[in-house]
Amino acid sequence: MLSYLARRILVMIPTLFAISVLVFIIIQLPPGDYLTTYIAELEAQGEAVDPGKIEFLRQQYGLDKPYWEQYMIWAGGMLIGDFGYSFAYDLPVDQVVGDRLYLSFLLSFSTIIFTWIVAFPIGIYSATNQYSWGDHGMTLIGFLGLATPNFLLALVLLYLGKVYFGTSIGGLMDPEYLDQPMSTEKFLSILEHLWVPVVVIGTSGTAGMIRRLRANLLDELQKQYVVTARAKGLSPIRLLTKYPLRMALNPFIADIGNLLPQVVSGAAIVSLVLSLPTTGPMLIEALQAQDMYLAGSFLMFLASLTVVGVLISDLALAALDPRIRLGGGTEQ
Amino acid sequence: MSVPEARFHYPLRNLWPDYARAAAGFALTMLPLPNAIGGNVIVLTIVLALAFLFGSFGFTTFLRHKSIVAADEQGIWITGLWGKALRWDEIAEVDMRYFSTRREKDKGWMQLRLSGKGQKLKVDSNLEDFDGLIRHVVTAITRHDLVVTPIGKENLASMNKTVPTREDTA
Repeated sequence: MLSYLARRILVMIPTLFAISVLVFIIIQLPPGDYLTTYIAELEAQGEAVDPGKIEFLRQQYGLDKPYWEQYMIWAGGMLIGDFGYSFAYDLPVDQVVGDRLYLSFLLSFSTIIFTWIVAFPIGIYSATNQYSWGDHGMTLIGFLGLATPNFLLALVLLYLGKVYFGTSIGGLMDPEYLDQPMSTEKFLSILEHLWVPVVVIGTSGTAGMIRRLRANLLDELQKQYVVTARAKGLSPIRLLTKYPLRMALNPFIADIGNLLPQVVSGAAIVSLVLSLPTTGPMLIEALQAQDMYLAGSFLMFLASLTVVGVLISDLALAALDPRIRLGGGTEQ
Repeated sequence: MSVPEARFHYPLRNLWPDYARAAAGFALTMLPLPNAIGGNVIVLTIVLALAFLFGSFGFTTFLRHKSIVAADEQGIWITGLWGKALRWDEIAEVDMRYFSTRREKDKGWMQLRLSGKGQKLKVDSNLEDFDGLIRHVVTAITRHDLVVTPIGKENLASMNKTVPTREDTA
């Protein structure tokens, strides 16, 4: 496994380098830079723009340097944990992100756990009781969850909460705790508000996971080794957990690669609709304002998490299911 | 009919890509180290962990290079540092794993794992005449009625090695 891990990590290095170049190109693609956007905003408000000050700021932020030099400064900084400077907030990127990152983690991990806790038993039940009333019912609910866009569900819940219960279910805490240091009361308030976004974001993921687990488990349960084991009188639970369930877990594991970036991006559109103080809306604002280091570091962080997520899922798959595929070969 | 002792080793021509990977990985992770010291603790930890990983990979490649795998009628053993030996009748489970770093899962390598008596003996397909060693193992599986994992059976079948239908359903 050490050999696999070392080879796999070595593959990640050129991948991350290529991603960093792409991200840098993407954040440079819009015409102009943060300062031209800033000047346009000032002029639109009828304020005078001092060319000397703009030139000073351009030098200060390194925007007068050639692109390759800007890239080297940005990428080299990230290698030692310096994510650059946010022009819009006038603060280092890590300070701008601050609490939002922890709240995004909390929200997304809660969503992942909700998804797995709900999807796992339902998926197993549906596969082991195929075409029963329970299976049909779960399938219907699953399809409804899959077909409903998250932001629409969020809007419906907002409306129902306001009209029928007279409460606002937006936000991730009561307004008085915003920008306050963490305390027991603030944490309890977060927990109180957390269930709504967890249900909203988790519904479609749960439905998809149920369908995939059911399909995979059904495939495994029809294989010959399961028939042999059943004929030998193995108990149903042991029969299920010994190999079929392990094999059917593959989609859960393969999903880790997609889950990690979601943990940080924090379902941006739902966060906007529900006014959640997560990192998603901040990323959108940074992209709109051409706050290049904030947006670039975010995108790079998300891409790195995708690469790390795929690494984790590959390692788990290599440990659980190290099978050769037809058409593959071995090298000496 | 008695089975003569067969000896196998890892030749340099099969192992040099692993040496090169270990060296490249170690060099690349050590590159940002001077600047990372005194900076972000998380980044420094990641850099040191990766350097340690590639260092360990280089060391284990060296150990494989210096080891000899041998098999006869009685059992199988590996000589060298951390050498191991198992008699065929002591083996509780035979597993054959396939690893590949590619999405298409091609150009990978096999790893034979024999476990029993609280120890695990692992041999990679980088071994010279790996196929010859597998022939010994398949003979032992038949003679001693050894348990082969379902994944191991599939991977052995891909090498045109069929083993008895007994499966681990215990």
